[in-house]
Amino acid sequence: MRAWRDMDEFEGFLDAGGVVEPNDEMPEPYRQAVFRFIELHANSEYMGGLTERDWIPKAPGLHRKLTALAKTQDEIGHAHLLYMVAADLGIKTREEMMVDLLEGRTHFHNVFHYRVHSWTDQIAVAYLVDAAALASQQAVFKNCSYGPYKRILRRVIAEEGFHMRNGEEMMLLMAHGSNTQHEMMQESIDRWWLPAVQLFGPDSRPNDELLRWHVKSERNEDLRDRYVQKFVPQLLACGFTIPDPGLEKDQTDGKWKISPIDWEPLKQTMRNGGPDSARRISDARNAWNNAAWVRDALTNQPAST
Amino acid sequence: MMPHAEGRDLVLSFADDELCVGQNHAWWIAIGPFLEEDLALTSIAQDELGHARSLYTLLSDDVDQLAYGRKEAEYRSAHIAELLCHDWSWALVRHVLHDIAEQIRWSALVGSSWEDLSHLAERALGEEQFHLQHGSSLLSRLLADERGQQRLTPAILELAPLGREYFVSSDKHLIENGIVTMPLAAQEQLWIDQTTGLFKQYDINIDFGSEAPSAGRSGIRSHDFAALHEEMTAVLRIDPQAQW
Repeated sequence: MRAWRDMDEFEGFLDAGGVVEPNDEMPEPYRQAVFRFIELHANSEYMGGLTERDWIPKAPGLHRKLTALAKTQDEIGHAHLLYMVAADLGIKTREEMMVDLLEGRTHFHNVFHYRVHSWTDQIAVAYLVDAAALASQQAVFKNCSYGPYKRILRRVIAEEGFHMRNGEEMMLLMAHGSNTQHEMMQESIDRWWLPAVQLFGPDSRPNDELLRWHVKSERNEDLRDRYVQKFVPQLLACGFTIPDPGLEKDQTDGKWKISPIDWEPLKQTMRNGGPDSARRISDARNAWNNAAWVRDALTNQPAST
Repeated sequence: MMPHAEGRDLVLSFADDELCVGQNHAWWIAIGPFLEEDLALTSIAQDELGHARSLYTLLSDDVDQLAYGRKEAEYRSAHIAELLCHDWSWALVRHVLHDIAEQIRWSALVGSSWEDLSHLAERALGEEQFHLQHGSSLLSRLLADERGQQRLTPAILELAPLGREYFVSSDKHLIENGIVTMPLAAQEQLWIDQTTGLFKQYDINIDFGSEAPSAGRSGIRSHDFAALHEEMTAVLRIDPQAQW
């Protein structure tokens, strides 16, 4: 167990590339900030699983059904690991985190407040949303000062990489498929482009403590810009349009510029006021409450041998 | 080898059972009682769908056409496999009844003269051990709890007799030709004995009746099948010629 005299010494340790472990006497503001960040990530993985589950039973063909199931299982697995890492920080138990989420007291990423309307929406989630999530996670992994989180991110990133490639493969199939498929995919891109771009959040504050404490390693606006530079040309090359009338290529630096984002709707969404927030949370809450007897029965008796 | 029609019927029935149960288990993703259980049941769902795929592959090169392209009356699934079981206690009971049956069914195919089927059975049996361990240990712990027993007993009493249908198939030539190594009647009796033994320790006595009460093997579908089939083919039907 290690301890630091004050925040200056702790920040010096972090700046020198130090990695914090759960038994260390970390400063309370750091513990709280890391916890909130991991809890949000865990909630988002879990809600991501719920977002995708509507279309697993409808997945076209056995191969797609198996891959869709495996992907969503990965997301639930990520949530499982992340909740345990978060619980180790000693602020809330797993049960408390689940109840807070289901009672609407804590949050999850904007993208999982929307409904998946079609199979191509499912593809858009795998291709556009997972890619955005992956980019954010890679930026955290690169220089993450909290050891257990960094170790779990290694696995999360490897799996998200598969999801994104799977999404890309399916997107390409739709791009070169029948007219119906192409049109469906375009509708889904129209629905999911802005939420995916918004996943990176508003520009980072100049004094963002998550950056100072080496939880994040890159500013939100830099990650967002890199995403735009990668995905705009890919989508255009596939014959799709991007639902942003202000989108243009800067003639001086050759970079794609998107329209300014109005963050107010996003803030509203994040307060669980998004288009599908209420249903999503109430589905999860009903399932959780209906199964209370299972959890009670299992905790009321010694484990079987 | 080109198996006898009876052998093909047996494999098709088994594949349809696995297709339906895998589809039904998968419904529970993200809404199970706790995350570990979500992960476990989803793994089992993937195994069952994998079995369905391997079994269909023995019958056809176009697996999706066989799995999803038939008319309702052409399916051969047992009704117990088709039931949606959107109450978790029912889903758990069906999972256990199904996996006890599966272990017996696969065991009877190990050493089959249909070599590909025998190899598949060996591989599947390895997975079944884990399925059964998962389902029966969870079920036993819940049955040891009074409220758990109240929840589970109605599902057990109603579903268990339907499980007989897993073993409905004509097997005269199957035994002669060495496709299966144990007559279906003997498999059925083994399943009844094992199931009876499991529940007897909790004073749950099942009336299995004298024969399977459902006729899924003859092409008659349960009340839940239409919804299940509608769901599993929802996207394919948008453009049946397209590659998805």
